[in-house]
Amino acid sequence: MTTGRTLRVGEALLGGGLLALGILIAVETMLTPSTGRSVVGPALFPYLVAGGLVLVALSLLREAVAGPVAHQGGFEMDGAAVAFVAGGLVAQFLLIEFLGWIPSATLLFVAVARAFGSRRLALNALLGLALAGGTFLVFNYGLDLNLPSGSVVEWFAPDE
Amino acid sequence: MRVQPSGFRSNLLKASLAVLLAAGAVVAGPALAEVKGLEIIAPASPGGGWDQHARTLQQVLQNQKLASGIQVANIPGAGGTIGLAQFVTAKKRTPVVLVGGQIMLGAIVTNKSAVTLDQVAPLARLTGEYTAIVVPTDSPIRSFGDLLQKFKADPGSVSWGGGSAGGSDQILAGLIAKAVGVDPAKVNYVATAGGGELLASALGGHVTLGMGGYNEFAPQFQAGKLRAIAVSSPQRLPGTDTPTLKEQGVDLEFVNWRGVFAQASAKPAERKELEEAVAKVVASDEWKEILKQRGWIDQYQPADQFGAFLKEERSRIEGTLKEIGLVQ
Amino acid sequence: MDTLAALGHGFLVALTPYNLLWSAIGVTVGTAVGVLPGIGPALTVALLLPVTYHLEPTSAFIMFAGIYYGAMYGGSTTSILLNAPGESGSIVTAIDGHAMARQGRGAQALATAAIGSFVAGTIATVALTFVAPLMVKMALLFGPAEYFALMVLALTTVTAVLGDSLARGLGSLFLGLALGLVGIDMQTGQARLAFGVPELLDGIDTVVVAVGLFAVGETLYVASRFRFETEEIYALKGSKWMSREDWSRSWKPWLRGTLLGFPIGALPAGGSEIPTFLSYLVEKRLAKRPEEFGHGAIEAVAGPEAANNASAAGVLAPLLSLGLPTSATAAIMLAAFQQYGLQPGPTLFDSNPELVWGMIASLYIGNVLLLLLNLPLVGLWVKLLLIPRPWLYAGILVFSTLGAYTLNNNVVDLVILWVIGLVGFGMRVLNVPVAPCVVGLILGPLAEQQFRRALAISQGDASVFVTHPISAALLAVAVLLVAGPMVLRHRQRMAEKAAEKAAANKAAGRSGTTPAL
Repeated sequence: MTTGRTLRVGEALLGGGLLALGILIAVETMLTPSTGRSVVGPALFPYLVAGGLVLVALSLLREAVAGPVAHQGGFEMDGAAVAFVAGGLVAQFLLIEFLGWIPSATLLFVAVARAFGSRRLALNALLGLALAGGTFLVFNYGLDLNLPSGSVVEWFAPDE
Repeated sequence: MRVQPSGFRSNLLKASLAVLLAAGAVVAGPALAEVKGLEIIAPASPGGGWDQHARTLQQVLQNQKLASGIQVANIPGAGGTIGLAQFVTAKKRTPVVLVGGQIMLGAIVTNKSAVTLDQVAPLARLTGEYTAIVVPTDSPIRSFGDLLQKFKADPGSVSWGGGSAGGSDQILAGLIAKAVGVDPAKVNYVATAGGGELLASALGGHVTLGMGGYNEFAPQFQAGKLRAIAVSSPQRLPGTDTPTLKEQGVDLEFVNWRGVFAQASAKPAERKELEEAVAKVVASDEWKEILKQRGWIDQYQPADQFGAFLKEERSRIEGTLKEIGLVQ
Repeated sequence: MDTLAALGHGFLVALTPYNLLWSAIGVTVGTAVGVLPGIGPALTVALLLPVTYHLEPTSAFIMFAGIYYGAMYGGSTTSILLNAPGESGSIVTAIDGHAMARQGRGAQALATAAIGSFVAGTIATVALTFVAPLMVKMALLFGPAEYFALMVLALTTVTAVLGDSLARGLGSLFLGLALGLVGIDMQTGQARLAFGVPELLDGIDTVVVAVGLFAVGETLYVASRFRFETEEIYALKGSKWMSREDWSRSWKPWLRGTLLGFPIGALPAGGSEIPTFLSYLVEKRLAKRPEEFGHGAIEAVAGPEAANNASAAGVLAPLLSLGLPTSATAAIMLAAFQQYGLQPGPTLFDSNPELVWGMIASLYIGNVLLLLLNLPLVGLWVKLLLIPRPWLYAGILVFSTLGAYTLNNNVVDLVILWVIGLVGFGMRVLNVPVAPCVVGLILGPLAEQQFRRALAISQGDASVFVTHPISAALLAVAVLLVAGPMVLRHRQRMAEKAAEKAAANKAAGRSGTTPAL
C-alpha cells in the first residue's frame, strides 16, 4: 500500500539517486588517469553528463518537496508480486550456468506466473519446461547457438 | 537448495538430452575422426574475422575427417579478452581451442585484462594480413615521401584513420612515427569502427590517410578511387606494385596475424593431436582454396615457432602502446 | 534505359521457379528467425549463411536477400506484441506499437508495420536500382562534423518523448547518456565507468536496456498492480483489418519514413536507429493529434517501421556500388560475397550482371512474398495476446532473458537486464518516461565520438561545425525544431494573455466587475 506521501519519498529518492549518479560519474572520471592524447579527451563528456545529472536531480528534489506528485490519489502496490518477478530473474541469472537454461528458465516462468496469481504450480512448471525446452532445441540444435546446458549436466553426462 | 525438484529436472533434462545426442550421433557421421567433440571459441560476434576463421577451421576439420562433432561458440567482447578469460577457466571434457590474433595482444594490455596469453598454449599461427596505407586518388599526397614530409613538418596535420584505439593500425602508426624520428605520442590517430566506416572516411577524404588490411581496400584501387602509398609486407605483394615500407626507407615489417590456441591445462597428448590436426588442415587443398577466396595470406607457423614469435611480438606491441601513451 | 533492361533481365533470372523457391524459403526462414528475441538481422544472416553454401551463387544471393528482408520484417513483431524489441531499429516501434496491442489494436499495428515495410522496401529498392551511385556520392560527403550535426538533429527527438514533466524527462535522458558512457572510449581505448568488470568494457547493450526498461519494467509494474486493477486489455477489439482512418493516417508516414530511411541508411555511419527516431519526431510534429503519441498512435508505428526497412535497403547501396559494408549485416553480406570469390563494387555489375540484377530483382519479389506471408500471420500473432496473463507475462520474461543472454552468451547481461528492469519499474511508478533514456543511450556515444573525431581532424578548430555547409544546415534544422515550438508556444501564450487582458479590460470597462475565469 503506497500513498501520495510515500510517492513523494519515491520522487525524492529519484532525485537523490540521479544526484548520487552524477557525483559518482564526476568522481570516477576525476580518479581515472587520462591516457592517450587527443584534442578533446575522454573526460569531457562524462563531466558534462555529470553536470546535467546534478542539475536535473536538484530540480527533481525541489519538485519532490513542492511540486505535483505522480498518482495524486495514492497508489497501491503488490510488493509480493514484484518480489516474485524480481526474485525469479535473480534465481535465473544465478542458476543459468550451473543448472542450464532449461531449469532456470522454467523456474523464472513459474515465479512470474505466481506473481500474476496463478497457483497451479505443476501445470505452470510443465508449460515453462515446454517453452524453455523448445527454445533450447531451436537455439542449440536449429541455430547452433549455445544456450547453457548447465555445468551440472557436464558432471553427470556419461563419458564418450 | 532443494534437492528433489532440481534432481527431477536434471533427470528429465538428461533423458531428453540423451535422446537428442542419440539423434545427433546418427547425423554426425564418421566415427573415424581423430578429435572428438572439439569446441572452437571465437571471441567475437558472428561474421567477423575471428568468427570466420573459427568456422572455416570447423568446416575443413570436418570435411577432412580430422575431427567430429565440432562446435563453434561465439563469446564476443573487449577485443577478445572476455572470450580469452572464459577459455582459460573453461573446464570441459572435450578439447577446446581459441581463435585469436594480434588485436587481442593489444587489448590485453589496454584493457588491463587479468588473463594473458601466458595462460594459453599456442597451437599455430594461421593467416595474416599486411596493412596498406591509402590516400584518396585526388589527394595532394601522391607518395609515402610526400606523407613523411608533411608528417615531419607538422605531425598533427596528418590524421591517420584506422581501426579501434590500441589496435593493429594505431600500433603500426606509432611504429612508423618512431622509425622516422617523430614522437609516437604526436600521431593524430582517428579511431573508427573499421570496415565501411573507415573506407568511407578514406574515400571521402575526411582523414589524411587510411590504414587497414590490403585486401579490404583492393577493390578501391582497381576502381581508381584510392591509392596505396605503402604496404607493410617484407616484399611487394604478388600481382601488385605498391612499394613496401622498407623500400621507402622505413625499416618495418608488420603483419596482422591470426592464430589458434589450446588450453594450457590440455594434456600433452591432446595438444599434440590438435597440433597435428591443424597442420593437416593447413596443408589441405580445401584450406588453400578458401584462403585464396578470402584473400587471407598463409602465415602458418607450428606451435614452437609461433610461441617464439608471440614473445617478440608482445614486447614490440606493449612497448609501442606505451610510447603512444595509451598505456602507462 | 540500360538499367531497366538489366533489371528486366534480373527479373527473368529471379522469376525462374527454382530461384523463386529459394526466395520463398529465404523470406520464411528470415521472418521466423528474425522473430526470435535477441536475434536481429545481422545474426540471422550470419546464422543462415552456411545454409546457402551449397547453392549456386545466384540462387544463394536470392535466398540471402530474402533472409535479410525477412529478418527486418520479423524484428517488429516482438516489439509490438511483447514490448521486447529484438534489435535497435525497432525500439521506437515498441513505444506506440505495444500501446496499440494493449488496446486490442495489435493487428492494425502489425499490419501497418508490414504494409509500411512493403511500401518502404519497394520504394527504397527502386531507389537502390536507379540512384544508388548518386546516393553513395552524397554519403561520402559526410565526415565527422556532418555526422555530429546529424546526431544532434536526431537528439531533438527527445523533445517528442519527454512527457509532461521536463525535469523527469530530462532525468531519463541523462540516465541514458550516463549509461552510454560505460565502456571503452573508442578514441583512446580507455575504460570509463566499467568499475573493473570486463563484461562492461564493450558498453551496455542498447537492446538489453530497451528490453529491460520496456518489457521487464512493465512486467514488474503490471504485476504490482495486477491484484488491484485489471485493465481490459489484450484482446482483439473489433476488426483485425486496418480501417479507412488507419489507412489515411498511415500512408503519409510510410512515405516520409522511406524518405528519411533510405538516404540515412546509405550513410556509412547512419545506422538504422536514427531514421526511426527522426521519423517519430516528424510524425509527432505533423500529427493532428500529437497527444496520442506514446499512447498508441498508428503514425508512430507506420513511420518508424517504414524508415527502418528503407534504411535496410539503403545499406545495400554503398555495399553493392562500392563494396562498403556500413552495418553489421552488410559486413556479413560482404563476407558472403567473398565466400564465392566475388567482390562487390563497380566491377561486380560488369563481371556478374546476372547475379547482381537477379539479386536486386529478388528484393522486389521478396518484398511481395513477405507481404503475402506476413499479412495472414497478423491474425495468428495477435492470438498470442489471448494467452492468460500469468503465462503471457511469464513467457515475455523468458523470451526477454533469452534475448539478453544470446546477445553475448553472458550472464552479466542478465544482471544488467534485471537492474535496468527494476529501474524501469521505478520510473513507471514515478511517471518518468523511459523513451528519453533509450534515445540518450543510443545517440550520446555516437555524438560524442563524432564530435571528438571532428575536432581531432581539425586540430581543435570548433568552427568546422558551422563552416561545413551540410553540418551547419543540419544544426540549423535542429535549432529550429527545438526552438520553433517554444517560440510558437510563447507567442501563443502572449497572444492569449493579451486577449485575456483585452477581454478583461473590455469586461471591466463595460460592467465594472471582475470577469469570472
